[in-house]
Amino acid sequence: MTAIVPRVGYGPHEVSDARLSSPVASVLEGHGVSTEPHVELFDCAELRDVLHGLVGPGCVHEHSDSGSVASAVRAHRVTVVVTHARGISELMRNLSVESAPVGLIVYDPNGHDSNSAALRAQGVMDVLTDRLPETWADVLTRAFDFRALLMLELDHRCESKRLSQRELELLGEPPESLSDDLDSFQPPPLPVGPMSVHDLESASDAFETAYIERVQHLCNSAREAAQVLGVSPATLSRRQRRDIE
Amino acid sequence: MKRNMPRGAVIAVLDRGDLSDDLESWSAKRGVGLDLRTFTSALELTGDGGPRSLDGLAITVAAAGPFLPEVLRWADSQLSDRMPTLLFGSGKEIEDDVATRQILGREQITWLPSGAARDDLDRWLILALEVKELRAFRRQHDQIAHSLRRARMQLFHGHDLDMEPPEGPPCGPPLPTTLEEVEPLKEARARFERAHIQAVIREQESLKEASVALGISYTSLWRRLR
Repeated sequence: MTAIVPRVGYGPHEVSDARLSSPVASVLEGHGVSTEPHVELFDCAELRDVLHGLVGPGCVHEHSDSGSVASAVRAHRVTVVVTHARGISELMRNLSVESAPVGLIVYDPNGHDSNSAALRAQGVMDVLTDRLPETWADVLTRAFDFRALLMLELDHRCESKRLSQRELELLGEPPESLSDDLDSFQPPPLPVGPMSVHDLESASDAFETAYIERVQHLCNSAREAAQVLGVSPATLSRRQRRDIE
Repeated sequence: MKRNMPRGAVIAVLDRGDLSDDLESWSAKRGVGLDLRTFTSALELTGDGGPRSLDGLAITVAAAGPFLPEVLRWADSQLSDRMPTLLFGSGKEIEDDVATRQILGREQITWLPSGAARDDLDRWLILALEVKELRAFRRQHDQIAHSLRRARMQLFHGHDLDMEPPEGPPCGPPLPTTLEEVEPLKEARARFERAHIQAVIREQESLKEASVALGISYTSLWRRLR
């Protein structure tokens, strides 16, 4: 299943080449996930030009508040956080690196502002002391791949959980009814076997219902839910009425 | 029979009558290669020579006799996953009454009274096969997730990626757990539909059959695939 292939090298890159490696990008595309890379740059203006050159200005998001970095990490699938060594403590506190798996790269130009071994132990992916585009392209690509593999892993774990729930239902366990439990409530799995729902519209409606329900649990009002879902409140209300009927 | 129907599902039968023959004829009719292991006594089934890995267990009350509790305990203890089990009544009121009390709380056991319709047997076999499929796919997803995690940790520690991430079976999109993760509904539904179509194509023998199962026209399926 996991074919061993020639190693994906992270050697010197051309400028504007800090992207996902192609085998990873191809699988991510197969899952329908955007492969566009994002860099969350916190308190480190010195690296702006290097990063703009490597991933493009539109993909570099500068933050002056460490709280907004954490939000951006959740919002972007293929993302990396870059910061200066001087701001690392504050950022790590807000990011809780251990529970928010993202490639965190620290720029430490003096090479002695931070203890790189200690930072790595706390969850920092790499500490760089120079601004050479080749070095950054290498580390960024590795960090993008790291994040993409995490997204793929999450997809598979989630589908596995849905299959497990379906199996329990078939064997007589009552279906999950605690829909306010964000970690366990899931729509049915993709079809497996003749007893599953194959009809596209019915299955998509079931997924949509679960998705809307989840978003409503996360929002304070139906209006806010409609806004984040990109539909009008009237449309959202109509879909809910349809589900009830 | 669709190609996704598992071949060689292992079903143990504890019976002294013609239950095995019924199952054989069902599998021949539906084109499913059941691997039937027939036992005539509870001791034979639960002894050292008994099966260790099963996809389903069909028992008749008459063959299990007074050893039914031992057989059920054996099934619970031998297998890590709960096994779809079918219990056929004997037609004798007292025996059947005792048997139905013994299966209380064991939701994976389907009770069929003696002389039950053939459709009920069909339904149970399809259920057992579907559970086998679900478990096989679940294992596949777990293995892939495990290998992705291993590769991810290698990258984190500065090593090169030494594997190509496997395509694996399709996955439905995870639901968001924070507001920032919420995608527009249209995009989330599109991602789901894409994965659903891939899964249905996997389940069917041809695109034509897939389009029928999906409830869309062949042209529409073709357009979506493009």
